[in-house]
Amino acid sequence: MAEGDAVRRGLDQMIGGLELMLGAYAAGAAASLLAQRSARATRFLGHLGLLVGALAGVVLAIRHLGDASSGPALRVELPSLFPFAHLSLVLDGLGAFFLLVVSIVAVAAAVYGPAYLRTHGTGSPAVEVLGINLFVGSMALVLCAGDALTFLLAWEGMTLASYTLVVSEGGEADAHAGLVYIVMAHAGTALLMVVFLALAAHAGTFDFVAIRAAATSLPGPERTVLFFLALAGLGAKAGVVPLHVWLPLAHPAAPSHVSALMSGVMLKVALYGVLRLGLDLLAPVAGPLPPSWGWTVLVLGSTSAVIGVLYALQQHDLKRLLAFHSVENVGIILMGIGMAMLLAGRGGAADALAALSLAAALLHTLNHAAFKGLLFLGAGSVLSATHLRNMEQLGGLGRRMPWTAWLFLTGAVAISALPPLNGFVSEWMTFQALVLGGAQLKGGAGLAAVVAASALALTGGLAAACFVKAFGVTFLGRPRSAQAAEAVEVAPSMRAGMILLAAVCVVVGVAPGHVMSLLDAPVVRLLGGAGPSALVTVRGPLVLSALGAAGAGTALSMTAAAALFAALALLVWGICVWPRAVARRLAPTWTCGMTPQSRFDYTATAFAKPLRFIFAALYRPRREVEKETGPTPYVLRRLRWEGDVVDLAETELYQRLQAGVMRTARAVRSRSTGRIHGYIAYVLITLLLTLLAFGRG
Amino acid sequence: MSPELATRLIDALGALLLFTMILILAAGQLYRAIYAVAAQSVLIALAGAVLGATTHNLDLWIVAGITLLVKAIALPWLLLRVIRRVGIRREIEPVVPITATLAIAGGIVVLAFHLSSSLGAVRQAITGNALPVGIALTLMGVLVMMSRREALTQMVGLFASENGIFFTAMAVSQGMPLIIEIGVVLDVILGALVMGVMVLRVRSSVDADIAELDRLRG
Amino acid sequence: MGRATPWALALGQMALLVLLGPLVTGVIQKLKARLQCRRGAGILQPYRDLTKLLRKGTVQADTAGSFFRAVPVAVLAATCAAAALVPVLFASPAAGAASPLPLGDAILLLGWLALGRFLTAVGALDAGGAFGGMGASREMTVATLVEPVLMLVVFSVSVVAGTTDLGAIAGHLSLRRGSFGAPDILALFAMLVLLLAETGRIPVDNPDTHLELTMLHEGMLLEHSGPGLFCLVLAHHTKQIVVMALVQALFLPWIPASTALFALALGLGAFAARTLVLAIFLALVESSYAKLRFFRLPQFLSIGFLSAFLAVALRLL
Repeated sequence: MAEGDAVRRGLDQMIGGLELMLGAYAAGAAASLLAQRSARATRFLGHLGLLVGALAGVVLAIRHLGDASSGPALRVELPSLFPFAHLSLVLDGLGAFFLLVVSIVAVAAAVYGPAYLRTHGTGSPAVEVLGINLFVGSMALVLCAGDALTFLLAWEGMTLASYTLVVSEGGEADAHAGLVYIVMAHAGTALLMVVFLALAAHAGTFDFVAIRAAATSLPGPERTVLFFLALAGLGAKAGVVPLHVWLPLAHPAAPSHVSALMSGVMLKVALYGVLRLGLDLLAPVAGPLPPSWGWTVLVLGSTSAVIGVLYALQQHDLKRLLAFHSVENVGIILMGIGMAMLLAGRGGAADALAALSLAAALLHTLNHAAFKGLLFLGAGSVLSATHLRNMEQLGGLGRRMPWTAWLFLTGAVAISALPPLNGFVSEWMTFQALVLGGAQLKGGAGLAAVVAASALALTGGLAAACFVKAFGVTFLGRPRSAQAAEAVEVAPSMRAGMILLAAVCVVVGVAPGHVMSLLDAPVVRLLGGAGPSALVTVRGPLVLSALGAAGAGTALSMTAAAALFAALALLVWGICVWPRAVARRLAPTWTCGMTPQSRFDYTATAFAKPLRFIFAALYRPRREVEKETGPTPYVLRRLRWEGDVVDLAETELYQRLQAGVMRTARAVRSRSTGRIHGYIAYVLITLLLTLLAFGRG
Repeated sequence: MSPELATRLIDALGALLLFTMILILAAGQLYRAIYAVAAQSVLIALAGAVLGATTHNLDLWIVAGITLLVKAIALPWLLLRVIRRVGIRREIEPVVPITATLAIAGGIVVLAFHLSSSLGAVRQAITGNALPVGIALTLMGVLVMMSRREALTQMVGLFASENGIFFTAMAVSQGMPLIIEIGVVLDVILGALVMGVMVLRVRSSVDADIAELDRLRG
Repeated sequence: MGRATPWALALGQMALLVLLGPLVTGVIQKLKARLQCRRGAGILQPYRDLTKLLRKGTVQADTAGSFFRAVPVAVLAATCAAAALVPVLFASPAAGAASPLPLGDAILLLGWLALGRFLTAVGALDAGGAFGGMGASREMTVATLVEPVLMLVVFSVSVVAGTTDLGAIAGHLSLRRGSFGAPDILALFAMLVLLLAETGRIPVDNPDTHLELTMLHEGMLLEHSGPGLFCLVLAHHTKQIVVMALVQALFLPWIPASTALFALALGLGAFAARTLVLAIFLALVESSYAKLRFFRLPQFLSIGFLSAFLAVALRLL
């Protein structure tokens, strides 16, 4: 009796938490009404609402993930707005985990937002505040959706809110970005709608529980078709190659803390959809998934990862570079998901490896949100201090903005998957899952898995090269413009937002075992069986284990490794650097006898040149050089160099598609007579045909 | 020689053969490709000797000896002489870029393994992995011939292909009948002689770039 | 065995590698000199160079800030942390048993080396000027091309050993002594190509030059001096011997599996012999070939990639 009371009290508390979260977002959105009175109050109150809501979300998610074993999923029936459907909210392990991811980045963005918007605002505080609260609120609703209609409504709300934020800064480039974004998002939503409507028609209702039960009776090929349609629709939102073209346009256009949310969190909501549909709603009750699902996801993931980072290397706009990196990391997460789909349900060691693979993908979701959020907030700080985004015009910011520089470096080390930070942990787990899974699968499938693992290593190397460039050219060397030379460090609240995310990076990197318990609920919910904390932290929370077949496996203690690194660094510093009165002299850098200036520093374009040359088949780089010479051709007066790199998806696919559509539209337009008699005739003919076709029987 | 030892040796020789094939494919200069194919022929001769010692088949010993003399010593020496006479020291410019060639080679090996797994029963007890390796070598030799411009490199590809054929024959039937093997070697010698003469004579008046010979049309 | 002994062994192996690193470089330099008909400096010369650097002062570029000062310390710490992960004298007792001290595996080792390279490249960009930038750009490009091949080589061994832990792999190899098969031969060839790339030797990079177009690694060290340069040069020596030890742990067995003093001494002797063989190989390659043009490097490294790919294919198919 007492236990039932406790459970009910716990549920009531959680419902209260859910109400608090959604209410806070609504209150924050309502703060936009004050916009006429005081922009400052609007921003402050709006972001305060966001902060409260996000904190409530964190608490709610952690509490739910904590007692995942006890009690059912949280279920709340909403007042029915439509006569044909019941709306409900359901919070289960998977949704709770993604809610945690969303809320953490939202907390950082809420702390960061007001000061940022003061220095680099859009001029319309109402839109800023309304947009961001609706955006995060609808993302939370998508994760808590208990039926397809709530899901789709919240999904659409998410798209519209982020669209208003993308175009909020005004300007033609932003408008174009918003247009591409909304067209592609709606194309994806349309595909999703088709899938959900088909499922709902089969089940007779929109409710997820009923859909799940009814989908078990779907024939295999139909299920596969639905999954691929959903993958296409969700992939457009997640930024999977070749549906990624909106990402590098839309993410840089939004304000930086919104970019952090879009890049770090909105893409994850799309991946939540993939997991929900692929492993929960559409999955067969027992036994393995069709292999085509897993292979498609794995191949899409590998391609996105490699292509995303290759295009990121050639970008010089900080935010565009980070947007392409999101494509890469979504690819990495999809690789983990694909491997989990390939191994699930085969019994024995394969099940344990599937759990490891899914845990790796989920952990990378959390990690990517943390370090991508951190990097975008850092880029936003640079933008607010210098009002420049092109790193070729920056430089030397490390000495003027030390906090931002060190925090950006933390994010750069994390995203390059270098120890001892969190990016390395999830990539380690993904490597183990791919290799041990490959050994389990054997044959050609195993070979493909191991090659995918080496593609993952390639992306790690490319990401490291890209971030050496991004960090080095932006923060180190000499300032290349007046704005860069006069930059000042950003406000403490902006620093606080970044420090929060950097702390997440460090904590998850150094003590990942303690985070494993958070992954239990989603993995058990989707795959059943033992959760990651029983498999991966089987030797205690300080040691990560990847268990292969026959009990052999690898164990790794990030805590011990990080402690060793720290101890060695202290030792080296103590022996070599500290004890002596080291004669230190400052001198200008040798530049072959000329006065050093910023023109001598290596540019970002030059840094990326070797890789641009090596991967020229993918980049099709274009290069134009104009020389103006003096009296003899050996005396050079002026040199103009222009070059760019194409996005193959854009040129091959989209421009052709666009040209085709325009051609068809023009052909149709040339047929329109402009006279009303013609149009009435069309209506009459259509009516007659419809009656003929459907009037019988 | 015991069969297990023979199998292990032939497996190891197969790996070394694959590596020399990679060196031929990635060779930047002509003499490196010729040295690689000479080494490959030595390895083939060794494989023939090992198999001959295991099955006590005199034919295999004879063929190993012929391979050693002709394809490891005589023909490479001939090709090197031609190079030195004509003075071709420059690098080979391939029709297909080297990285793409190596990627295709990887695909060929996977294909060879796939093919030989469907011919499963033919994999002999002694020769183990030799069938897929042999098929891969033959196809990669043809790949060399397809992707290079210099006539001499195409000869190298032909030699490598013939090595592959011999290795495959060993895997399937413990060597071909002696007369067939001698016939193939004679074909190869003749081909090398013709190519050597052509390069020497034609080079003095015209560049022997095979890609340009398409002007000789009917 | 108690927890203290594995820690002591790991730290002892790390200290051994750090101390022997400059000696290996000295041996290679001496061999190269002899091959080039010179007398050459003594094999202890790198130690003298290192102590000289410790005594000197520092000249720092005026644009460089706190990153520049922090980089050498972090790089040496990361490389030493990598050195603690390689089994030199002692391998795991039995294949299948969990390693008593989970300090790290092959992937973490490669991760530490990658961290060292990342930080060195960042430090190179801090001083401004073109030398550091060019060196950093080229070094990161080579690193990008080398990483997937290294991983493939490690994986070709670990799919059969079932683990990526180097101690367990070495123990596994010692147990199946003599079953060095076809895939191992190909993977060893790939690893030798990578050894040249990772240690920055001809034909990938020339460790003896300071012209901006011919140096990759040296370009990143150019602006450092004094104790900072000491840290970076020692890290370079350590990285070289760590990669050699990695080659040995993956492919050349005969690492003893017990911690008796006699076995450790035997292990030390075996390690010295194998390292000498690899050093001779490096000296021979350096003296026989010219440095490749930078844009020919992808073709050279793709030999390694194809070998490693074939090794994995032969293993799994």
